[in-house]
Amino acid sequence: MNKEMISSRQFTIITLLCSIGTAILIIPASITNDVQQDAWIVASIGVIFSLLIIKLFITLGKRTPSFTFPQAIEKIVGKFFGKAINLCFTMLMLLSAGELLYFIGIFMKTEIMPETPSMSFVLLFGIIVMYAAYLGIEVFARSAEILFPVFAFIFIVFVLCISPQIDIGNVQPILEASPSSMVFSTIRFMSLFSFPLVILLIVFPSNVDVQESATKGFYIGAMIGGVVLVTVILLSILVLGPTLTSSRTFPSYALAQRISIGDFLQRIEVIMAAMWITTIYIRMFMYFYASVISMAQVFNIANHRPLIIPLGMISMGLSQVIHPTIIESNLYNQEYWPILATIFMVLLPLMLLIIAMLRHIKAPSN
Amino acid sequence: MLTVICIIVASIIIAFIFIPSLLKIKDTKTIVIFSLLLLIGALLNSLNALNIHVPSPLIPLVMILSPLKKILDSWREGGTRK
Repeated sequence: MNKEMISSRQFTIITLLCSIGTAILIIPASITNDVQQDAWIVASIGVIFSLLIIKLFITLGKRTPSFTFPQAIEKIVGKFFGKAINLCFTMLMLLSAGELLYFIGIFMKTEIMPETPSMSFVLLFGIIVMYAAYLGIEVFARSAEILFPVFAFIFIVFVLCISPQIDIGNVQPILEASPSSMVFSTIRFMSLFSFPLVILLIVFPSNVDVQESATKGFYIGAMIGGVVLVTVILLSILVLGPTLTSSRTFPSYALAQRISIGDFLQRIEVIMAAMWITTIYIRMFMYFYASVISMAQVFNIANHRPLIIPLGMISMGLSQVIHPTIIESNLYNQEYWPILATIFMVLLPLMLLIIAMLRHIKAPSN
Repeated sequence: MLTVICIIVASIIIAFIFIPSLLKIKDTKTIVIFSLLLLIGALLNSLNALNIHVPSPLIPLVMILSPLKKILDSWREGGTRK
């Protein structure tokens, strides 16, 4: 079987859309709840610190340039511990994939079609993701390339249409939040924005054609993604105000509902929703693909394709049972996910890097 | 009930698509794992369709993490008191 390759430009686009992911939908509410009008400062700090996290991922990836992340784990910590870590990683990825499907379902159900069961959206979305996983990363990268201009166009229209309603008084007074709550909110922001980028090690650097420019693309993609998120958070605070932003489940959608130009161009929020449906699709695919690849690695299966449909069915089932109510989902995403993400997506790569250094596992220099 | 039958029929069709090609290359391990995962998936979805409550898989995870969260919470409260 030929190795699938993606170009560094495609990798940049995947990084960009994957880093935005679900964050665009849920992060304004979750961090505004804690630090009120300073949320955009917290997000900006988080974006800058994310560079360090990406540096860590790249350094780890460069140690084992010809392996995917699950293979690299097994190479670095040995077979037994590697399989144990990979199994935990698979579970986490599968749960996250289920959670993202849950978000799509609950978003469509609460905001757009209240009488349709969420399973119908989950099924449609899940089939697309499974199909993409079946066709492989190369086809997926091309689809991301097609979706990107659409995303960029909608985002620019979104920003332009909402900007007349900005009320600068909403961000004042600046820096009112306590330092400790700012630290916690920064971690919360990063746990949804940059920590999950560890799944890109599945394709980087082993499946990228030009590694040098892909390294640059990793930084650039994450930075642009960060700018998009900061813009969305800033606009939600400027237009809706901190109180309304924190009380809405999906503030970005509430923001899009406010668009009204000359009492004529109104109610275009469903078109705006295409923005986060795109980004959630990209991140959902990455989580799902990571779970399939690492599951195949745990059991030493050469061809991962037969595992796609069963794992897809499991993640669709999980999306229905994972959070009984939206309140539990918010609690999980605010309190437990940051801890879990820090353990699996920062401490684990850090530990792997230290072990790789101690064991002198390096890229063959030529 | 109809949904459950649909799920079972779909699972059988999926099994019939994948298993013969795997049998041809005698990949028994993949067949076992594939069938096991398919069974779990079909069971989970059938339970959902029958409205039987399945406890969230996050509950044990949250139980493991809650001592850690308590420590973090105490730090946060210590910070705000200053």
